[in-house]
Amino acid sequence: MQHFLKGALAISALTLSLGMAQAQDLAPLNSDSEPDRMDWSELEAKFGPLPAPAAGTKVGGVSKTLTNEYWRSLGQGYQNVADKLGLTFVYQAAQNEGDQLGQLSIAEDLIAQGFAALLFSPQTDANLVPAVEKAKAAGIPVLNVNDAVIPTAEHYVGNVQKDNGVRVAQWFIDNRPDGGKVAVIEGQPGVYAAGQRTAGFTETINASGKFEVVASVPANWSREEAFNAASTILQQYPDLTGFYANNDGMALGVVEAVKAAGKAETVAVFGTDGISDAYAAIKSGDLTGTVDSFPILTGEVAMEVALRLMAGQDLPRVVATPQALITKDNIDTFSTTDQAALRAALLK
Amino acid sequence: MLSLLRFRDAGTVLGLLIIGTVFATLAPTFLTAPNLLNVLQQSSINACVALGMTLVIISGGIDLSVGPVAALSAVLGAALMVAGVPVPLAIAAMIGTGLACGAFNAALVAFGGLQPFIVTLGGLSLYRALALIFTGGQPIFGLPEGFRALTNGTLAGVPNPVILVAVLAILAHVVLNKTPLGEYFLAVGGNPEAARIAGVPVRATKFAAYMISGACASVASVVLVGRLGAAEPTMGTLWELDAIAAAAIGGASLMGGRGSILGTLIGCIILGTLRNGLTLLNVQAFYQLLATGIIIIVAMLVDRLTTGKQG
Amino acid sequence: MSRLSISGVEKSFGALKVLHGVSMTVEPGEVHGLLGENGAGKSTLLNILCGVLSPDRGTVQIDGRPVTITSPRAASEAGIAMIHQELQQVPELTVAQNIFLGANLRRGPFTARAAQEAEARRLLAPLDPTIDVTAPVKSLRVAARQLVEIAKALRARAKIIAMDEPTSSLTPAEFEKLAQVVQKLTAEGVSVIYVSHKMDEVFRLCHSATILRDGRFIERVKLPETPVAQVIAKMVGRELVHATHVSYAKPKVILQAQGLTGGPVRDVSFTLHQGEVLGIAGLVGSGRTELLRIIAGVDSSTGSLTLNGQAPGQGPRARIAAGLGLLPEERKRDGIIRHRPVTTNVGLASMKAFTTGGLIAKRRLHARTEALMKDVGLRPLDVTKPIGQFSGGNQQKAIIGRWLAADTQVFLFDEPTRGIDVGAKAEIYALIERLAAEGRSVIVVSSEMPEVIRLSDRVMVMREGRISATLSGPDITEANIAHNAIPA
Repeated sequence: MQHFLKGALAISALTLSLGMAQAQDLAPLNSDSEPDRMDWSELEAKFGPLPAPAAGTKVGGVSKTLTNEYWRSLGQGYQNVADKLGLTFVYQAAQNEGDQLGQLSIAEDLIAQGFAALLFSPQTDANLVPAVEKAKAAGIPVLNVNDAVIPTAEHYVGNVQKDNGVRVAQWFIDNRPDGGKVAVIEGQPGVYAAGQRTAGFTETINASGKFEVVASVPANWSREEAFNAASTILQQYPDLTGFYANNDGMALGVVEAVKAAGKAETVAVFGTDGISDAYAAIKSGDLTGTVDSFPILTGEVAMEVALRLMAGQDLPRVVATPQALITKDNIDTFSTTDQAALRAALLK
Repeated sequence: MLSLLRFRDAGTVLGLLIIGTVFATLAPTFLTAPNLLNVLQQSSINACVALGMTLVIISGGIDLSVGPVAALSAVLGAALMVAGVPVPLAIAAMIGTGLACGAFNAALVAFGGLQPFIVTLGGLSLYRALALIFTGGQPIFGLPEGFRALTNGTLAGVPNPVILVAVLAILAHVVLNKTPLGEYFLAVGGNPEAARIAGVPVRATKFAAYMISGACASVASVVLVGRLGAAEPTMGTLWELDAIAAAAIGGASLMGGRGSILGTLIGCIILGTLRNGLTLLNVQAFYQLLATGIIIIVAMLVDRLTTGKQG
Repeated sequence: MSRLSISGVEKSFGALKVLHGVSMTVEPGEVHGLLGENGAGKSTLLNILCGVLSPDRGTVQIDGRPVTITSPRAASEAGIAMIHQELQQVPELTVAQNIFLGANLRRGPFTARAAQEAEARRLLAPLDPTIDVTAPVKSLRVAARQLVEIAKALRARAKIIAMDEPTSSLTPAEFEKLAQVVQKLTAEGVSVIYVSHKMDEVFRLCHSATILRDGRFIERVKLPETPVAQVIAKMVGRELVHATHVSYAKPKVILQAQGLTGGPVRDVSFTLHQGEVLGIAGLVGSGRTELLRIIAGVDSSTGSLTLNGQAPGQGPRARIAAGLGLLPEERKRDGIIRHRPVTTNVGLASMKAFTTGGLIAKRRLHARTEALMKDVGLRPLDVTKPIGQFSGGNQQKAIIGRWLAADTQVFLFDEPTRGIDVGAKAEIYALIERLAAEGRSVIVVSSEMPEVIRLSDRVMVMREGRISATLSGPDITEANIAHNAIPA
């Protein structure tokens, strides 16, 4: 008995000190370069099948905004898993992508409601920090799902943002062997995803030595601003080879500008995210391609990671979610709503 | 007028009580001390901004630049703190930034004769741009813990920001109702030409209003930077609209000359309560927006019906 | 048969009954005055006539037929047109567009512009053929804009035209022209209801008048045979003492102006003595108002000004500190802070005196305001009420109180009794005389000749920005003023 008590004390002291050490040593997160990471495809192999949650478990999600299809799809993924396993799932969102304080209020309001885990997709790197701290104090695991990266986040599930740009750059290198002039339409300045996507594209394409990035301008995720920016760039560089836009909405704006300038034949346009409009545009030949990050599947993976954490599995800090470059060549494989089939295609 | 204002404030309080009662009935966790403190804390940033906004609106102006002023103060203050400048000095610099931005707005309005809406719309872009340029668009992390403790602490269980706002509100109330400056705000907003002929220092009054508004935005940024532990150049988006909404719900007339600090404060709490209650009820964001819109319009209609008869 | 016959009209706003069984009859081709002090019920009655308000009880008959007027449109169809004191026009639209506002002539889906302009020209021809029907209304003077309203009434074939204070911003010459127009209208059988505070005009124009007091019908009188004093007595319910002018002027020079020039004002020099009332007469646009504003520091100028031998600084604040106070013509626009109580409006110019340790000494301000307002006769004597809820005369009293509180030495009155009813007028005159008796100096700008003559020790006549004559003693006559006011 005494031994047992001693042992228990020692273990709890150890976990306590370990916990504190971890809290103090946790380096500011960079989701793209964090060494403590794994790919989603290895989850089952390394940690076994998905543990079943206790009955009546509640999970909460706070998204950026529901005006954007990406975040609705992500919520759909969460919900898929919740439905399959009989979880209660609450999904809330701020009123728009600029509503930083509103999102913080929503996140804080959820903490008090007894959720077993919270899935946050913050507006900015900093705006949910107090909520994360509060959740931590309340002992609720928080997953930072995608996009903006909370530096103090203990768990991150999402894309390798830089990889989006790298894949598009690689396409140009493979398919436009003569090189040429390319332009980037950036998302909102200061947003991590925008910066990483742009960097991934620019670094990779510059390394090839054949391409020149002649313009890289922010269009704040806005289709209209992207249209205007692309129109200006096309006027200035009529011999442009292609555009890379940080998201699909902006890419579709660029497509309109390219068509208006009569350059649909010569200028390749790529987006990121893989929204349904982008798929339609690829099929009709307007958009050259997009890097799909499969939001529904991402949501499913994130929810699964949450369940594994709740079951006490010691996952790496970052779990990377699926991504693929979609062009006319492979679009048929990936344009399926059957998530199981999608998983199979991606795992192949 | 006094009795009328009190009457108007009573209406705002009544509105809050009705909303509160509805939520208390529907959401069991709503009427708990932690949640109510939560509402107050969440409302404190908007309240801080709205106090200054109310004075500007009463003096016949408008300040659309509050959010970017807060962002500029935030990134400058954070940069100073990261560089090792003592916290009190950095906070002083943040508030100084707000005062300076306010003075710049006021100079254009008072001496340039430009319309406040346009001036501060320009300021909205200008100060945001300065904040983005200064930081290269990146947030500034790594603020001293001592600073964060200021805004994250509590006094007798009440979060410090709530106490701060209460103190600021009392100050603003005293300024508005008990000092010549307050009378000048009301006079300049109510009738600038008559005020000038009666010897009111119209320009100085406008400077005071905009500088107070800038300072309030900066104080809000101090609170928020402390809470977030970071300063972001994109901070403060749409703050101006929340602040204007709170002031309007509280009975401030956008034509100037009328308004109340207590009303604005309650207006902030109404907006905060709505967001909190609707989240607790798991109402989707779009409907939250709808509810906010309805509340503002109902408040305006009630305003019209109660003051319309005054002719 | 009467053109218009109103009988037993009652109207209440909530618990407040404002019309107690009012009757009025107007004959065809008659100019009928509607007389009473502010608050007597004239506006309410007019609003009932033109369909803005509906009566609680009572009947309205036109040409013997009972009509119910439920909307402004119904009033127009019944043949009633109203010319408001604040003209209800769209300043950006042309004369013709305003005349046809709400009743456009059409050609298919389009407005028949040419036809409208031709018709507008025809309607305006007997009134004033020089008005350009294609000019925007905002480019016209007030008198011409009134004629446009009359043309609009004629376009709607009005049988009854009600005019509410039509001459409040007209010059004497413009009034003469309006009088001719009114006579032309009546010659064609149109009836005119004429509301005015100016007794001389009422007696010049009206054939008869209805007198109201406190919402009650007092008497229908024939004009001009009923004596003025009798009419006024019925309006105010008491006899007004018609005082004669008394001078309190002392030899000491208080204010000296030398070569003041700015805006329309050209090279104006004069002196003002202690206890003196200096009248400034002249046509509208002769620079009278601007001269007052220059003296008060509201507008800038060149030239010199000394007060008690010293030059005050620029701007209203410096001038107020030196002892000058302006009481503007447009009290609503330039004088009062409408939503604020009387206390604030009185104390605004002397806040420093009412401040202790940075805070307003509310009790002191209240006591001082109440004392001052009791002295000037504010009614009702409730200094916490917003000033906007008081009548024009009482607002003027409050502004006099403002300068008394600031211990102002020189009061600059611009049209001191504009928009103020007969009873209050006499009070304002008495207050101005008291100011002079207390040794303060007063400058009074006024378009009403009897007012200038009644009040002034000396009268300066302005013409095209300059002083054309300075009259004193027996030389102060209407003829002399008019002679010097009209451009050669």
